[in-house]
Amino acid sequence: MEENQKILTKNWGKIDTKEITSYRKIGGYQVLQRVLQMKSQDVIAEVIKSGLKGRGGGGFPTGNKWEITAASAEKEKYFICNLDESEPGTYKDRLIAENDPHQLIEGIIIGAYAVGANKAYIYANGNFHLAHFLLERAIHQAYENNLLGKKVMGSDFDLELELFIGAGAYICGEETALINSLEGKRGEPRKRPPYTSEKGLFDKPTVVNNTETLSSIPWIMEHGGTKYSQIGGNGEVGTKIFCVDGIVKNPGAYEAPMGSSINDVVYKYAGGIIDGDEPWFAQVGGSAGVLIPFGSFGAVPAYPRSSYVPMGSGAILVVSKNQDIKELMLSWANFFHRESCGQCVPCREGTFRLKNIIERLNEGNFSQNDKEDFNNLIWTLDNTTLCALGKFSVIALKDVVRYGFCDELK
Amino acid sequence: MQIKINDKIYDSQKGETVLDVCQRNGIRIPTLCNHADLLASGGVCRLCLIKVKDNSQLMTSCQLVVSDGLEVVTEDADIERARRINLELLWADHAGKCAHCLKNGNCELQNLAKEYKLDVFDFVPEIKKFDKEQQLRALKESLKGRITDNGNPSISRDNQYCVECSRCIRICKEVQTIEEYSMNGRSIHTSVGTACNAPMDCILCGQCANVCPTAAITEKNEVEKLEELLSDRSKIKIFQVAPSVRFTLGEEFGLEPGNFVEEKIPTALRKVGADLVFDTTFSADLTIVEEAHELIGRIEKFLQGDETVKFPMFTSCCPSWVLYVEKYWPEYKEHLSSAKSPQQMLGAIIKTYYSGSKKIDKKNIASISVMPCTSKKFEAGREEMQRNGSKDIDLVITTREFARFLRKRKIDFLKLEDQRFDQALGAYSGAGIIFGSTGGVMEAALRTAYETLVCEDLPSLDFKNIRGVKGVRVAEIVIPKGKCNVKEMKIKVAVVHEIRNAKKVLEMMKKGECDYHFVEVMACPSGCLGGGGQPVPTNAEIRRKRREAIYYKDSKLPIRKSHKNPAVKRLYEEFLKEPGGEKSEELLHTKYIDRSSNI
Repeated sequence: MEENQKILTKNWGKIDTKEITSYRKIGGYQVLQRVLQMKSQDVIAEVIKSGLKGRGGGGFPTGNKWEITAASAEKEKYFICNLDESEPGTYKDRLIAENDPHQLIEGIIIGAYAVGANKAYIYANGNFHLAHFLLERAIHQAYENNLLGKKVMGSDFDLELELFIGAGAYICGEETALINSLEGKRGEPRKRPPYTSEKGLFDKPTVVNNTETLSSIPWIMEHGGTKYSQIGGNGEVGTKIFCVDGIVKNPGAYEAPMGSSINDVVYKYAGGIIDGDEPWFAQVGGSAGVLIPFGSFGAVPAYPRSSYVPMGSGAILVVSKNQDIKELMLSWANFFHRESCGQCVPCREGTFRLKNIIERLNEGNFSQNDKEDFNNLIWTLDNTTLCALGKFSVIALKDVVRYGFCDELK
Repeated sequence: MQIKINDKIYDSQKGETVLDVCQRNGIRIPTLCNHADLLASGGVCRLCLIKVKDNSQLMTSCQLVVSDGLEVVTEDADIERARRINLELLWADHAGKCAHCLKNGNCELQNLAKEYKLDVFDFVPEIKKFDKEQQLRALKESLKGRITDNGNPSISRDNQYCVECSRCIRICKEVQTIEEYSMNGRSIHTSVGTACNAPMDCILCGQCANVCPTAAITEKNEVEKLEELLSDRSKIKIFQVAPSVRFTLGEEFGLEPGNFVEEKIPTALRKVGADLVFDTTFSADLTIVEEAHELIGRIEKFLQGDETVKFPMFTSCCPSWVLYVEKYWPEYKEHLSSAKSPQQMLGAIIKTYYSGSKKIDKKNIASISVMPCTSKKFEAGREEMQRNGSKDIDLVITTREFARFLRKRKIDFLKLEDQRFDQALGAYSGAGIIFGSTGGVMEAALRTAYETLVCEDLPSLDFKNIRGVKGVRVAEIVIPKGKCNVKEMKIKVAVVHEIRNAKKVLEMMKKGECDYHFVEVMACPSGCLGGGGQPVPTNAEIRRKRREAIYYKDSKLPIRKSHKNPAVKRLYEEFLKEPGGEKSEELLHTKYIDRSSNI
């Protein structure tokens, strides 16, 4: 396993993010030129060969996603880059946009070319002001350099790319809610099927890819899918940015090969645990992530969601033994309560009541009745909500109960 | 296609949902967001959950489309638990608000709570157990974001009763195309509202109130105002009752839809203090005479070569339709018949002719109408419907409010003796009675217009091809030379209900493709019998029963043409002189306003 292989972060700090010339000087957009001479199915084949999976947390193979949309007979297709990152403790996508906007744009152009879309969007979280500025500028420069617009780099391929700034709602990171928002509607998830690959934006076939996924594309096309598939281990390929926080010496974002264990990331990259403190557990994947007790830090985050440590967004929060678990529970409950779109009953009402119960838990007013309700609510959110937000909102709470982290809930 | 529900085989059609099949076969599945008149919701109430056999995942039956070999289970422990908890979550928001609620006893949420025996509000700890500060916080939380809207004369909203089922959003968009409502806010503060929560500014048809499962949207309740008027001893209380009310009021007292309860209404009204009970059906006949006269006038002018005549002529008895034209298509307002609606005609006649002949000061008259319609409340308040600062109609109450008032007065409606309307302004023809249904005004107008033009009796009074419930129904009527020796011609007419269909006709006009001479439009599904003030629940089946009862009544009446109504004839002889005459123009006709800048 090549430990220091950098793909996503290789240019960070080395280029002037405001100038396209800086990115071109280090070879940027050269692979695009080559890709535009390839057949689109060959591009897709290369991505399939790489084994790249969606970095938003779903882990759906990117190449296969493109293939489905490319196969559609519909002429009008859309390509969307999902930059609505709002998972607490996750900031990889924002950093990518801020540190290497052109690599992302190059990935988007390749993707749009592969599926045959002539219109692409970057759906950006409304709070990412620096990223907005840089992307706006980068897109403008790309147009000026004929990397976007009519006949990209002299080929027959036309592409319009637009930066769309959302309002910063968590649910708009869910692809169907994102599409609704992009259409000017309320950011509410749609029922699936139909899937976005058949009926997405404006009811046309649409690909929605995570920012980190797309940023990996230029490297894959440059070095080949096979080479990419050789990075990583433990059944997962490529590299991934981990956002490490909590009681580690050097909190931050680190690019590590897939297949790294929690221990690897915490000790090799984040400098290990702060002296004198002791970890209790780690939460992997943001607020919607599972809890992994300290004893199991050797476990490897992986796709899909059914694995022991689902990768999720790739955030790792190391929690101290001294942490008041009730406080943390309230912070989760507050987050999901605030971010519920309010469409369906269990999520709208359930997250609110759950928050109230956890407030009472924190105040020491937790009754036997509350305990029953707590379990009922967790079950309802887990099983009856319209979209996955309800399910996500109770993942950590379920683990608190499972591991007996909170005395009152035992 | 056959599917298995709880191990029993049922027939189903392609494209149906499991919920459709269950409802048809009497398999009980609770739902708050699904409604027979609407397209499927996004599956938001999460009460209709079921399972596909041998699959532990809960699914919404309102979204699960049937497929070959589908096997579902509608009852098991998980399903029961999910429905109960979700219902309890909604109910927790409502706890304790029923006693003074307008929908008490007829609320879908309350009925479900009863069905599932929810009486403890698990999610809201008893307020007694709270300390002062916690009590205050709970109170604040429950009132936070409460929005009430009483800024229009017809419809009231209070979002503390709202269960966010989105039915109102959908009916307003799908059926009426107005799109007045949308969801505002998020998480627990999500609520149905208007844009920026501005006061409602729509066509006030009240269909949203008809489909609302709770009391979040209701007609503007004016029962107290009615009581106030009734207790005013200085006033003579004159009532009028719309044609369709007598076919629907029974439902409020447990009768099947379509029961004819006309004879109980005057009794009930007299019992609560009415001095005179007139019939809007009488003035429906009057409207027809005026409107048919106007149509003939336009046709004759056209035949004389006048190119400026506005065709098609639109009916104007539906105030929501009038408002729709005024707000969205003001360029076509001259197409609306200048004839007032029956309610306003009778209102004007009561406060001029009747008060004059009886030597009563019109200031001492309280003119009250019982209507199937929320929009009539608005119509009564229009400036053109007032004379010297006095409104022709002082108060409009809907069928629902009337029933509520009778219940409040503890009147056993069904046991009342039969009585008649006051005949001075109360006799009616079959043409007046069918005003209550879509197509009725057209049919009534054709009966009169034909006979007036041709000077011969119609061969058949039933214009069957404009009856029914198709959105737009078109017919051609051949006008023969007849005794009056008119120029032979064909009149092309269209009958339209629901605004979405009216919009189609208006769009045709815009493109210059509309060659109709006369178009009847009713904003509500099936016309007034499906009006925004009618008893709930409502669906196509209920409306069909109401409609059949109306046409049956017409077929049994001795007089079926408006111009043959003896009371109408007498009114012309004694007072109005002739249709379209000076007095008629002054009292029975009106003008329309361009309201497009209001939207």
